[in-house]
Amino acid sequence: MIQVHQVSYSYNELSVLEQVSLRVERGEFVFLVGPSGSGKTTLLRLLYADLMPITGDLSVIGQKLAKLDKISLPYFRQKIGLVFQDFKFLQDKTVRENLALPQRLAGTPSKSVKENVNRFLHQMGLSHHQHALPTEISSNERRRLAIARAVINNPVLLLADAPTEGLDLRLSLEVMALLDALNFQGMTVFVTTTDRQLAEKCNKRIIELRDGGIH
Amino acid sequence: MRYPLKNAISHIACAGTANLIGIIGVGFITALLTTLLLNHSLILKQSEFKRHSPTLVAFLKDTVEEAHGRTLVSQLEKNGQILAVDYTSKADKLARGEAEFQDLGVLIKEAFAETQGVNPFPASLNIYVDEELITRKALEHIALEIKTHHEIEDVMLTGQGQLKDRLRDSERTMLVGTAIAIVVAWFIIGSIIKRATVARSEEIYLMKLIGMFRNYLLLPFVVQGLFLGGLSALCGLGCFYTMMYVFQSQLGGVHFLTIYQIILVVAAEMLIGALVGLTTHRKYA
Repeated sequence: MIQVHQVSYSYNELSVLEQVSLRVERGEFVFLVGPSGSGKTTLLRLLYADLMPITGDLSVIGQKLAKLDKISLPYFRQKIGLVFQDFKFLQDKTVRENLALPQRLAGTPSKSVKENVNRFLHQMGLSHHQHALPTEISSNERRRLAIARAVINNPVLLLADAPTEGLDLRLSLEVMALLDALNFQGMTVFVTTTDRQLAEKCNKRIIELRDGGIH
Repeated sequence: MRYPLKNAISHIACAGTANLIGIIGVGFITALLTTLLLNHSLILKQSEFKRHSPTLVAFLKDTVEEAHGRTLVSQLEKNGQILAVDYTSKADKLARGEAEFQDLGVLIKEAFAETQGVNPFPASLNIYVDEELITRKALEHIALEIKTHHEIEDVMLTGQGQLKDRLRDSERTMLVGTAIAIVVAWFIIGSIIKRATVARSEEIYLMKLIGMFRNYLLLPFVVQGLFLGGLSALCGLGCFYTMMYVFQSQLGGVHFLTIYQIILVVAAEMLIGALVGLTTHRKYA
C-alpha cells in the first residue's frame, strides 16, 4: 500500500528526512511515532503528494508519485482520506457542509451526498451539531468530524496526522477505537503521533522516526 | 452543477466591496468606450450620407464655353489621383436648383432674370478623387493644382475629405481607447479575482488536498470574471443611456448604440473577464 524508498527531504538548508525507507501492507494499521519536529508531518505530506522528495521513490496505492501529473493528482487524492493536525475546516461552513465537501468534490449525486452525510453524522454522534460551525463544537467533536470527512468517500488508505494531539488518554483511546473500527473494515490506517505509550497500548505496528531517520 | 455554482458565488462574495469598486471602475471605462463608439458611428453615418457626393467642385468662369469645359474634363481625368470628372452645365445647374430649392429656386431665377437676364448658376466640374488618397493635405494640393487652370473661377472642398480624416482619427482613437480599456479592465478585474483568491487561499489549498478537479477550481475564477465583466458593461451602458436620456434635448438626433453594438460590448467585456479568470487561476491557484 505504501512504499517509501531512500526518501530525503529538506526545507531550504534544513534536512528533515534522510534516506527514509518503510513499507506498509494493505489492511495494516501502523503508527509513525516520533518527537515534535522529527519529520512525521513532512513524511505524511510526501505521501499525499503535497511535497515532492528531493531524492528517493514513493509509491502509494500502487501509484508512483513521481509520475503523478496535474490531471491524475485529484483522482489519486480522492482515494486517500486525510486527517490534518489542524483539521483544516472551512470555518464559514457548517459541520454538515464540511462533511459533504469531499463528496461534492468527487461529484457524488446530491441524494447520495445527503444520505451519506446523515449516516456519518449519526455514526460520529454529530447529528445535533450539523448546523453549527466548526468553531462552535468541542475539540473532540471537531476531531470526529475530521475523521468523518476523511473517510466519507470510503478511501482505501487513511493518513491521520496526530489525531490525538492534546487529548487525554480516555479520549485518545476513543479516537483510536474509531480508527481501529475503520481498519477492521479493511481500510489501511497510517497514524502519526508523539505519544509512544498510546501506540503501544493499541498493540499495532510502530515505526519510529527520529532525527530524520527510521529507527 | 448546483454546488460548483454555489462555490463560484462564494468566491465572488470573498472579494467583498472590491467587486463594487471594480464594477464602477470598469463601468466608467465602458462609458468612455461607448462615447468613442457613438462618435465613430456618427461620423460613419455622415460619411455614408455623403458617399456619393463629389470630393471637389470646381466652378468654371462664365466666359468658358461648354465645349471648352468638356475639354478641361478630359485634361483633368489624366491626373492619376482623380477618378472621375463630371461636367454640369449652367442649364443643368439651374434645373437642379429649381428642383432642389423649389419655390426659392424659381424666385432666384426670376430675380436674376428681371435684373440681369442671365442664369446665376455657374457651370461646374464635379471631381471624384480616389478615396484611399483623401487626406486633407492631398486634397488641398489637388485643389490648388486645379485652380491653376485659367478657366476655373474657384474650387470648393465639399467636406468629404475632412470627414474621411475625422473617420480615420476616430478609428485610431477607438483602437487606442479600446487597447487602454482592455489593459485597465484586465488590471481591475485581475486585482479583484486575486483578492478573492487570497481570501480563499486556505480553502483552495484544502480543496486541492481533498482531491478537487482542476475544472472545479477553474469555474469560480471564470464565473467571477464573467460576472465582473458583464455587470460592469451593463452598468456602464445603463449609466450612459440614462445620461443620454436626461440630456436628450441638448444632444439633438444622436441615437444610442444599436442592440448589436450593446451585445458586442457586453460580450467583449465578459470575454475579457473570463480570460482574466483563466490567467489568474493559472497564476495564483
